[in-house]
Amino acid sequence: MKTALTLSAVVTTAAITCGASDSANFIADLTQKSREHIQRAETFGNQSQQLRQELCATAEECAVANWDGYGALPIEIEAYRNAYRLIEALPATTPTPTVGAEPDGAVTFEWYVTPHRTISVSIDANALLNYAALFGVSSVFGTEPFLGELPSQISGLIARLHMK
Amino acid sequence: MAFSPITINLSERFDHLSKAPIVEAIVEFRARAEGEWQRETVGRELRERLPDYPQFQEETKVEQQFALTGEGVPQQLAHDRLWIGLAFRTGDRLQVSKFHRDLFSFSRLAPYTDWTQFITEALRLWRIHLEVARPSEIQRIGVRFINRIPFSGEIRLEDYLIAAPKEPVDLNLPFAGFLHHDTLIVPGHPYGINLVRTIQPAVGAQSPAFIIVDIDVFRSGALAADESRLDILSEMRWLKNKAFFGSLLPSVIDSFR
Repeated sequence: MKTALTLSAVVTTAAITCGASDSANFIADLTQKSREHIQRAETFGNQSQQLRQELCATAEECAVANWDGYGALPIEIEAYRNAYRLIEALPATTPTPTVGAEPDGAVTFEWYVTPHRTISVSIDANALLNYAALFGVSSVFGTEPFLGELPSQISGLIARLHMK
Repeated sequence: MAFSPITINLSERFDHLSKAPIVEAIVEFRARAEGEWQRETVGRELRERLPDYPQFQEETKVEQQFALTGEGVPQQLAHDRLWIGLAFRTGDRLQVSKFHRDLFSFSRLAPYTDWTQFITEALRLWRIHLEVARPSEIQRIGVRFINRIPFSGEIRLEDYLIAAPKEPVDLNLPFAGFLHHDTLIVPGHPYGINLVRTIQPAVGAQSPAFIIVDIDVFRSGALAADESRLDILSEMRWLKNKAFFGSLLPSVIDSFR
């Protein structure tokens, strides 16, 4: 059996083509239970669990207007839900980001290596991902919709950030 | 380790199986609607364009929030049903099409007809979705075929599946169930394949159990949303066929002719 586990651009464990039949529902239920079973183990589920807790804590801290003292908007509930789904969609091999909030009510995830090598991805109430990446003198930024899986543009940047 | 690109040979012929064990064939496009996506407007436009899909239902996302107060029963704080689109069915309920803000899908349930009929209808409905939702980019395409093979009593999985699960060496125990979910990449092409093999248990004493071979070929990455994409779908179909014929023993394939 050949493996290509470092080629993360195409592969995601999150997105499956949706179905309408009883068999599709049976398979979806089974694979979800299997995923939950794996994530219950400390070894495999720790990252997701940690991120969800951080998201909850951030949502609580930023639940009121002016949470930053400069007129920031509270985190929008739909932004929170989209952030939760984004956590669920992160491939297991993704390095763990830190969770924060934007003054406009979006939730942000940051991967930080050095002050000159960092990526920030925010998700808003419309499930739009706004990202900005810094690689020394190079910078990349853009917007992609979140449709159930991490866009390859962003997963590619994360992989580039952590390339050794 | 480098992987050589594989050659997708669209001129390769696959046997037509008159009794193919397909319970659902699906085409899905994930794309963000850029036109107005409001319940009344979208509902009206789609109903006008889909007279042959007379059954429809609202599709919603159900969100619930609970507070654990430490006093016994969790307190429900909110119960939102967020409207995301519509699902339409033909009168015989064998064809289902979903029109969501972020997704279009077309499903043909058993009995499956053939690829040409299936994809022609899928693309016709996709064009309707393009007119109503007006996405400019597709983010993901999926072609998924769910196959279900009935069996009764005790069987040997290696009599059905080419890559059947094996019990640990020196521990000769029967299987009560299994779930294999493989994700394969296609070197040289922007495709992946989710291959799920499992057993669906019998519901009652008189019902069969089923071996499920679920093949989901997908393409992730942005594409312009204004073309039929028949070339891509044909390639995905080839991959699906290779996965199907490569998953089951020839004797099992023969039983579908």
